[in-house]
Amino acid sequence: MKTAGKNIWKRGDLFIWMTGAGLALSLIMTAALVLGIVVNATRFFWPTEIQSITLKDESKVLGMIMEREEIPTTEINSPLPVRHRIQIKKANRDLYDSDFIWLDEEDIRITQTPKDVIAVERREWGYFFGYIKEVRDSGEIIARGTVDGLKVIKDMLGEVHALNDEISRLEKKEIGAVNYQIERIRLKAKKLALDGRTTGSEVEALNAKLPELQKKYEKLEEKLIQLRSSHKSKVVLQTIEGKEKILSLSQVLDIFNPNQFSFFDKAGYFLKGINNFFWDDPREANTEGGVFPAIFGTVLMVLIMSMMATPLGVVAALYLREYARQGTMVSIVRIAVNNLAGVPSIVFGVFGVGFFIYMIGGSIDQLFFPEALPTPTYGTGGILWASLTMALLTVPVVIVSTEEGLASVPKGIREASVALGATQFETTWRVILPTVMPSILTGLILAMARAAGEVAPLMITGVVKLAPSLPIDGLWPFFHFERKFMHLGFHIYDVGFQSPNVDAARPMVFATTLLLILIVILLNVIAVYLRNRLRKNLSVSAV
Amino acid sequence: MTQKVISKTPGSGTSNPGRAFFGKSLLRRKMVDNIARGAVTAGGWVIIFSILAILFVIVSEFYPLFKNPTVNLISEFKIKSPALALGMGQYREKAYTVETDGIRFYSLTDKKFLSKPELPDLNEARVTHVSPSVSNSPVLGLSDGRIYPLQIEFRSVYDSDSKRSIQPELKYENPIQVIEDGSPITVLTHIKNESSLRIAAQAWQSKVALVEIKERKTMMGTTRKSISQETISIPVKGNISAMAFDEAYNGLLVGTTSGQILRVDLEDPYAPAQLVGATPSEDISIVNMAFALGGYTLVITDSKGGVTSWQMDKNSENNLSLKIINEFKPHQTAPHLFSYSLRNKGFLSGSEEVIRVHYATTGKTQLTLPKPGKSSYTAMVLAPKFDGILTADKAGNLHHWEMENPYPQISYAGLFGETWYEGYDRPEYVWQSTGGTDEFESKFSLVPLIFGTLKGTLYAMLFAIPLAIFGAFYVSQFMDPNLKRTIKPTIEIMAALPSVVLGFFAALVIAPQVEKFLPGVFLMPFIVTALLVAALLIYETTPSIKPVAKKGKEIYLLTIITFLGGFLSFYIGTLVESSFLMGDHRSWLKQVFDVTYDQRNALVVGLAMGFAVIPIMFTIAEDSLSNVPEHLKASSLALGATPWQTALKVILPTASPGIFSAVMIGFGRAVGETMIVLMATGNTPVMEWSMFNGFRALSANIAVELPEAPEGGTLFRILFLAAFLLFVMTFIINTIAEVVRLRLRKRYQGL
Repeated sequence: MKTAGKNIWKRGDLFIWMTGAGLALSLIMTAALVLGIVVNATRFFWPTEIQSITLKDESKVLGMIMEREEIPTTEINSPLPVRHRIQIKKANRDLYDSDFIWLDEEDIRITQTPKDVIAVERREWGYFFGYIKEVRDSGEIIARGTVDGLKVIKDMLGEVHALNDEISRLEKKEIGAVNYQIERIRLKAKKLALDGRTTGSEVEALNAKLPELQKKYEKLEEKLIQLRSSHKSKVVLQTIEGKEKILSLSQVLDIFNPNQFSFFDKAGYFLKGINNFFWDDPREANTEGGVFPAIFGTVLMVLIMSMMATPLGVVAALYLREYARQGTMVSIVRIAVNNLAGVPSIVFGVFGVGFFIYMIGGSIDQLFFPEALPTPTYGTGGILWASLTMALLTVPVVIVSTEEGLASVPKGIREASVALGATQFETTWRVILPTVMPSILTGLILAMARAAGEVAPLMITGVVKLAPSLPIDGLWPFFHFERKFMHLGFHIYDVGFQSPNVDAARPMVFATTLLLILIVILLNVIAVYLRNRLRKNLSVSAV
Repeated sequence: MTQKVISKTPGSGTSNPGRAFFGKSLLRRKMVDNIARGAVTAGGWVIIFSILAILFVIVSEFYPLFKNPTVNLISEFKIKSPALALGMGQYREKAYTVETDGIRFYSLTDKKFLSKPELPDLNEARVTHVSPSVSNSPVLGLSDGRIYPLQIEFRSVYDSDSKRSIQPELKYENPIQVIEDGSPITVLTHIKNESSLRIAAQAWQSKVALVEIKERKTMMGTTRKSISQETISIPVKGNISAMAFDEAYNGLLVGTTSGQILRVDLEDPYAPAQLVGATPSEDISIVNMAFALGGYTLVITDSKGGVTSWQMDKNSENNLSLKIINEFKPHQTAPHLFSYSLRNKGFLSGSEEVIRVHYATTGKTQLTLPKPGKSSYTAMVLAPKFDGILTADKAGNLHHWEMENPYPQISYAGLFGETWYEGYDRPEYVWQSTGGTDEFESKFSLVPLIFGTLKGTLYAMLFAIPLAIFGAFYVSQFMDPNLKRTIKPTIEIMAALPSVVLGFFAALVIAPQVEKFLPGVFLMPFIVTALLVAALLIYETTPSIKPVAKKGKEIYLLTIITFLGGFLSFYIGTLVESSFLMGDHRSWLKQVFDVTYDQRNALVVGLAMGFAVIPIMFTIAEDSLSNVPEHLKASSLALGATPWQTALKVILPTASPGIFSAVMIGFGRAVGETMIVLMATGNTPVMEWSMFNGFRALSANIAVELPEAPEGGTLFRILFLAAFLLFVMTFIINTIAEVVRLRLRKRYQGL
């Protein structure tokens, strides 16, 4: 035993194990984090049964059990056994004070899973849990009770949704377009006025367009009202306490009975939920619905960023490796690159605010958009400025990766090209660049991953919690780079921390987080794979 | 793949697209080559330019904060007679003067007299004393013992071309007789708010007349005025020389020629006045007393020329007394003139010789206006927007000064030192940029934010350094090379996790769990170590289980042990809590150490931010450990050292600069990390080292406050200064790390 102990000391096995434990702990933490997010996010889409809980005082609660935890005691060495409480999602936000409650398990008499309970996903106020009393169409009762009601509503829902789509198309697309045109005419007129022209053919031409647009607007408005009034079906819902709620079917997004779901129903619902999460607009202060605008904003920002960062990064790397004479200048550039990589992201954001938004944006506004002032056009945060800021932040990633690739191109290849009479540019363009393409791609993908996950600089250069319209739409000039945008990372921060109803927002945050880390991890895995392939290839070619 | 590329190189075949180049003239190819060279070189310059531009833009945004304020005389013209008091509108276009025979309006832009509005009840009386007002509601004291409250309004009128012109307008109350025998008024003060006007005038030597004019809205919508008047007697040593209403504590402060300051409680004016303060000696008399904006800071000028600011302080027995806060640059002669800013805590003090601009919060005297020729000052007023000063002299001249002083509350001492703010017991470091009212005193000390940044970084490093360095040491020295190839990309993916995800996870998942299992968290290192020792002993003494942990593949076993250790420590932690910590660690901490436990605290930030910096530190440290020349290791092993001894005594000392560089880079990352500190702390700018409190870091502060800060304002520029500090901090740290790494590389080459 003693010799074994001494042996351990000399061989340092314990310390080796301890250093290994340090690594193990890091790995466990990473796994726990990813797993925790995956589990919590999947739970959000997977439907749970609605339980009917009868308390000891005979009052009933209907809802989904979300969590179970120990009740913290304040007594010292309390002799009582450990007690638990459960968190219930009661939904029906419009009828109750709060849609989440905690119940002590010892107050519960019985928990049942009633067969005829329904869940209604509504446009406003979140879910409704309860029963269907009756369904009315133009005032007439066409079905009574939950079973019949559910059947009838399911039949009608397709039509209702088609009507809803038509209404929202009219509201967003057509009326939006007319409004946009009117606004443009107003600004044009103002610009002419600023140039000192308040009369003349141009002004008249502009003014002549207005009544026509006005008429168009009124017509659309009329059509909208007409469409809205064609929603005639209503459903009378009943909570477990017997409270009634009359709901127009136009408010119903989906209606289902989770307690009768088979495994495949659940799986189908799960997939549908994920689908909606990807493609829907957010609702209820971003705590429900989907994240489509945030995905769109993130992708577009990353694309603009890539278009700026890649050429700059590649050119800078070429300069460092191929063109510059290795000397002080190169050392300075290299130190600059390394420092650029180490500058905190928020400092880039501050630079973006000072330089892009106020200096450049402010000048653009004064030169090209004086008619809109004092409302800024480019002199405020927007997707262009956010992307440029991000490009500056990610350029070192591209440089470092490209340089690494350039360094591993064997000298012989360059010499062979030059010996055959190619100029340096031809060598670079025809020989070197194709060879280092995978390195550039690796750098670009890493830069994209970085940009997709970075939030701090965006918070001050143009991200908002809810953007009214996407930066690309069908209205001239189609690309609206001055617009503010939504971003997945900021969505997490905003919904998780600025939302008034934290419990309701929580699943949404987990789902968004999962989506974000999936994107980032996927990009990184691709980058790692590319780099490994590249290393293998080069080691072959060098031989 | 690359070989394919090589085969594509020019000359390898005639069907090659590379031929396109050779078809062109040599001249053209040369030109293209030169253009490309220029473009690529420009690209290199862009990078240098970018880093300089970042520095330049940030500096140019905060530089104006430290520009010295200036004041320039922009116009001067004769007025009818020396003014007793002055006032002007916010655009500094029109002004009024109070002269002995009434009010006159002047145009400052045209430098000419406009009109003399009628004062119907002035009669034969002359103005002997004025209680001036920056909000243009002066009260005149007349030679026949009456007081005459006025209100001057500067209304903006727009003509058909929407051009603005200012029209001054005079409104007045009825004069009130306060000295029965008709002797002239000499000491007078007043205070006006939305519903009432209170005036105090010295009636006889020690008698003070208090007048209150109240305006009440009746049910019918009309206003009803009520006037109350009473005379109180204040026994003073010497004579009453100055008075000021103390709105905060509802009192009247009376200064005397013997240097005493007495306080009359206006809740009970007939109670004897209390002595609340005094000048250093009896022969220094009080010349003027007035409050700066907000009504907390009292500015007293004395006959020796001293200008001091004071605050009312309530002691334990509820007695009020005045405490001196700041002493400003004194005058040569008694400063009898005073005016304050309606925008900030700036004020003017003026003697006959000079006028000085002071700032109450910083205690600084910013500017001095020179003596007006051979004459002496009789009146002055500060412009409502704190951008100009109007003065009048005995020779009957009016001077219009323009002041460039946009950031008066900024000084190096204020940003980095302790400042005695209104309502505080002592000088402190405080960051509180915005408040509820216009009168709010902004508190811009960067020290709590720098402190917060360092605190967060410190806890993150405490957690991250051991894990990252241990991990790197293990991976580089003892791990199976095949396993190493899968571990390194895993760590790289850990590095890619967005900080917003870590911050969110820290705040919503880690924080509640840490709160629940706090004792377990602290026990974890010990329990895991104990478990490792136990496992090792079993392992060494039981040969039959050797294959469980092959050399280089111990990590599988270690992961299981660490995992178990974690669970065990949480379990033991709960036991410890219930048996030793009174069942609740929060109340135990409060009772034993007097620390409060915030759910989002430095410990949680340390864990999350540590997590964020582990990968980068790991990668750099692992690189430098792996790159130690192989022959060093081989010779050590050949001499009979165990792998552990080799690693500790040969590899570690050789690679230590690399490890230092890794720590520095990790440090730099933690300093600038924003989202984690923003989400996982309460963001309260407190200065306590306790790991159970939150903090506010520079970076998080920028992210929170910059979107709200108006462009070009003081806060906006200070946030740029904060960004500059972050930039400089990380620049220094990164440069040190870089230099160390380069030297290490050279050393390896030499070996």
